[in-house]
Amino acid sequence: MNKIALSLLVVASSGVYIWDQSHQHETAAPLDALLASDISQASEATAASPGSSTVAATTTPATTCVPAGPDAVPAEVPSTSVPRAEITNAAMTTAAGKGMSDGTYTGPTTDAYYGPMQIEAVVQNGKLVTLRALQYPSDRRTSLVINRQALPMLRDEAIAAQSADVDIITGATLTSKAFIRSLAGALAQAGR
Amino acid sequence: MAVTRLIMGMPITVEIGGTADDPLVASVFDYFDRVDRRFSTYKPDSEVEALNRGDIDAADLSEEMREVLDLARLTRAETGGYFDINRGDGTIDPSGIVKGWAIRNAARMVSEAGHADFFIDAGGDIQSAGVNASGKPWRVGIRNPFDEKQIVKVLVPRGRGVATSGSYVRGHHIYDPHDRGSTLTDIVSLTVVGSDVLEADRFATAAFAMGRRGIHFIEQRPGLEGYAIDSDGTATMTSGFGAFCP
Repeated sequence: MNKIALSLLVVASSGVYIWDQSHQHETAAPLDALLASDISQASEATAASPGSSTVAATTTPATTCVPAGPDAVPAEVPSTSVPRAEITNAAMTTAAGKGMSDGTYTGPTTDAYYGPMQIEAVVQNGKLVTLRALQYPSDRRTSLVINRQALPMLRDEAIAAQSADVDIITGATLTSKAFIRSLAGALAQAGR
Repeated sequence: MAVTRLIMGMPITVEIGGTADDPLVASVFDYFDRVDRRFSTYKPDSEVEALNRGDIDAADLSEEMREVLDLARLTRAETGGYFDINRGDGTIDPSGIVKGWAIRNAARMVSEAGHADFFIDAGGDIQSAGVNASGKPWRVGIRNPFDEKQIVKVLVPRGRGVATSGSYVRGHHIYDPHDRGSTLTDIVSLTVVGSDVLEADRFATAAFAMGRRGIHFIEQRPGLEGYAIDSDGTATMTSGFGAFCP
């Protein structure tokens, strides 16, 4: 069951990723060109490697990965991005309706063509909150290039106020005017 | 003791640890004054304005101006045009590179004068080195883009540069050079940690203009880490950003 849930997530993530990529393509061609030129080597290698594409979810904010229902999987998935066949089948059979149970799930170690790959997924309140690569190919230069591109490494969090125990503050450029206003406010409080 | 002065239209704060070295602090502020006189687009007698009026031949440009223009060209090429000092009317506004460049140069002055513990903060872009008065590594807070009195993240840059690009204090002052006239509302704050403040600043500016995809650009670029906050209050950080969090 754990394996099925994980597979489902991976497929859903791939779908979201593909959807995301295709939509971005329409709106920001120049950046696509830039990113594409950076990763040309990786793209070529990835195309030859069906295994590695199962983890192609570069955008893994928890929120985008949550909808694991059938809608999250596009009807037409490019062949280079289709995960291993048995995983696809398992996911498809359970994609309809069933929620995910909370817990930490470790997927099987699979051959990602350029080396072994193993993913851990954490589900909280029925939602996927973290994907972590426990093992990934790192012994070859090509593997490193691919992994920097394809592994879900970005992490999301909701912002929350922290302790103000800092020496310096970074933020969008504070103008002199804003600084004086803020200083005046602080002095007024100090004078009370 | 930290000293703040308003130069280049923003507060600049310098703190040099150890014995108080007032002449050095003064010379750092003098340096920012000189940079402002040369590069301000608000001063008609600045070199950049002379260049914009066509009053200077390329051969007569100062060494500093050439360095800045070269850096701007390099950054433009490295970011697919997302960093661009050309205004589109034949004039240039190099302020997007001058700030980080000036902070880095000022930090070098302090370092070469023999000081290991200091920070220089110009309008929220920071180069720090060593430790604070309590002997602890400098701690930098990321300001809440929705409430300027709050800190939403703390990082310990340990000698690296930190810069934030955002759309909150001055309104939508960053635009997409590939879509002039558009404003960017999606990501409201992007903090970048780089090998020095110049690296952090130039890539923060460019990646902010990329909108949601900017954080992916930072992730892919070796030596940079980033923390982006979107208009819903969700932050996205790069894989190595956690190394700077206490």
